[in-house]
Amino acid sequence: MTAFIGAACIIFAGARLGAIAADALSRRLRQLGALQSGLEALRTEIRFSATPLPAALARAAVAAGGEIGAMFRAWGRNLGGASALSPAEALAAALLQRPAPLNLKDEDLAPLRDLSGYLGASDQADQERHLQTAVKHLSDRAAEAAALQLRHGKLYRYLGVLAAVAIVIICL
Amino acid sequence: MPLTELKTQVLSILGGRLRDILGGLSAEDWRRAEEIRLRRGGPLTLVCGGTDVFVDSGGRECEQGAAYQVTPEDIMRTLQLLSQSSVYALEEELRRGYVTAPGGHRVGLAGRVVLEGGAIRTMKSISGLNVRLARQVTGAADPILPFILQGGGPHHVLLASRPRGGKTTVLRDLVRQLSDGVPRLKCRGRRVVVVDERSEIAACRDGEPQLAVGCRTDVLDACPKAEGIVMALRGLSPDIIATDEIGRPEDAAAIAEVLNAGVKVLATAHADRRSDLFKRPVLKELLAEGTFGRVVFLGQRGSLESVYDGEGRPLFVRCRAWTAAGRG
Repeated sequence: MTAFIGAACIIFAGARLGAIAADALSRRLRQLGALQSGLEALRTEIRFSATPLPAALARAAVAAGGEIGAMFRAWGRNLGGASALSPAEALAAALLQRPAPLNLKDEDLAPLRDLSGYLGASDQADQERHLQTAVKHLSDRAAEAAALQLRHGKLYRYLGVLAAVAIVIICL
Repeated sequence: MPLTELKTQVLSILGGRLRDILGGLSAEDWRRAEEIRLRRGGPLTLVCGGTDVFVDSGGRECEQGAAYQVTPEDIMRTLQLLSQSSVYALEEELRRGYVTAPGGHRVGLAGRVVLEGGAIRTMKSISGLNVRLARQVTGAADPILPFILQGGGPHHVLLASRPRGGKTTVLRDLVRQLSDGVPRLKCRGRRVVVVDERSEIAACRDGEPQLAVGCRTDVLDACPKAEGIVMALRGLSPDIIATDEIGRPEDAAAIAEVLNAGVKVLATAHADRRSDLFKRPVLKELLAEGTFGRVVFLGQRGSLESVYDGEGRPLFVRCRAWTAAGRG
C-alpha cells in the first residue's frame, strides 16, 4: 500500500513538473503577445494624441494586462513625478523591481531595452519608426516561441510522466 | 505666489546637479531672481534685476570663473523633466521656442532649428535653457483702474512700455480684476476672453491657466491673435477681449470687428513713448481713429508713467509713488 502511494506521488510530481515546463513555454508566448499589444497601444498614444510617456505607459499597461501590464505600469511610475530617470533607466528599474514574474528570456526583452534608449527622445514620426521596429522584433520572437511551444509543449508533459514512471519501475 | 511654492515649482523642473545647487540658494536670491540661464558648458547664471549673478556648485554667488559649469547631462535631465521624457509631446512648443512649465514659468530653448519649406519644423540639439520665473503681482493694475473705468465699464485700453517693462503683468492683473469685478470702483465682473498667443498672460499648461486670470475668464491658448479674436467673438460672447502685443495689419482688422461688436479691447504694444506708437503703421492708424480710449505708458517694472485719452490728451503723467515687481 505504501509503495503504491509512493509510486502515485512520484508520477504526480513528474506529471506536474512536465506541466510546469510546458506552461512556461505557453506563458512566454502569451507574454510576448502582451508585450506587442502594449507597444501597439503605446504607438497609438504617441502617434495620435502625443500623450506624455508616463500616461501613455499607464494606458499601454491596461492594453497589455497581466504581468506585462504590471511591468509597463512600473515603468511609467518610475518615469513620472520629480524623478529625472530616462526611459531606459526607468525600464531597467522596473525590470529590477519585478512587479510580476516574467517568463521571458533576456533576448525577448532586448527589443524593449533597445527601444527604451530612443523612447521619448524624438518627434512622433521617429518614435513610430522605433516602435514599429520593436514590435517587428517581438513578433519574430513570438513566432519562434510559438514554434518552440508546438514542438516541446506536449513533449515536456509526456516526458514528465514517463520519467516519473521510469523512476517508479526502477524503484520497484 | 509664496516664495517656497515658487522654489518648489522651479526646482521640480531642474535636473542633474542643478536641483541641489539651486536648492541651496538663499531666500533673498530666490526673491531677486528673474531668470535662470543654463548654457551647455557655460556658467550657471541667475538674472537678478537685469544683472547676471554667477552661482558656484555650493549655491553661492561667485565670480564668473568660479561658477558651476552647466553640463550636457544637466540640460538633458532638465529637458526630460520638462517634457516628462516625451519630446514628441512638445513639437508645437519646440516650434515656438519655449515650454510653459507648471506654475507658468516659461522655459526658452536654444538649439539647432530645423526648417521645412522655409518654416520652423522643430528644434534639436538643445544647448541652452532660460527659465523665466513667473511672478504674479496681485494689484499691479490698481493704479491704472481708476483711469480706465468709466461708468462701471472699461475703455478700450492700450498698455505700452519698452520690453520687460511689465506690460503683461499689468494686463494679467487688469484681466483678473475686471473678470472678478472691482466693487470699490463699482465695476461688476465681466466675461473676459484672453487670446494668449504666446501663453504669457495666463501661462496655460495643458489648457489650464497657471496664473490667476479671474473667474469669468476664458483663455484661447497659443492661438494667433487675429483668428483668436474672431473665434472669441463668434463663440464665447465676451464683454472684453484681452491680447498681448498687437502690431500686425490682421490684428487691426480683428480689432475693428471687436469695435463693431461692442466688445472692449485690452491690448499691449512695445513703445517707450507716445511718438513710438505713431512710428508703427498699424498702431498709428488705430490711434488716429481714437480707437483706444486710454493709452497707458508703463515705466520700469510696471510703474505707471502716463495715461492719455483717445484724443491724445494727457490724463496723468509720471507717478513715482508706486512700483510693482513684475515683467512684461
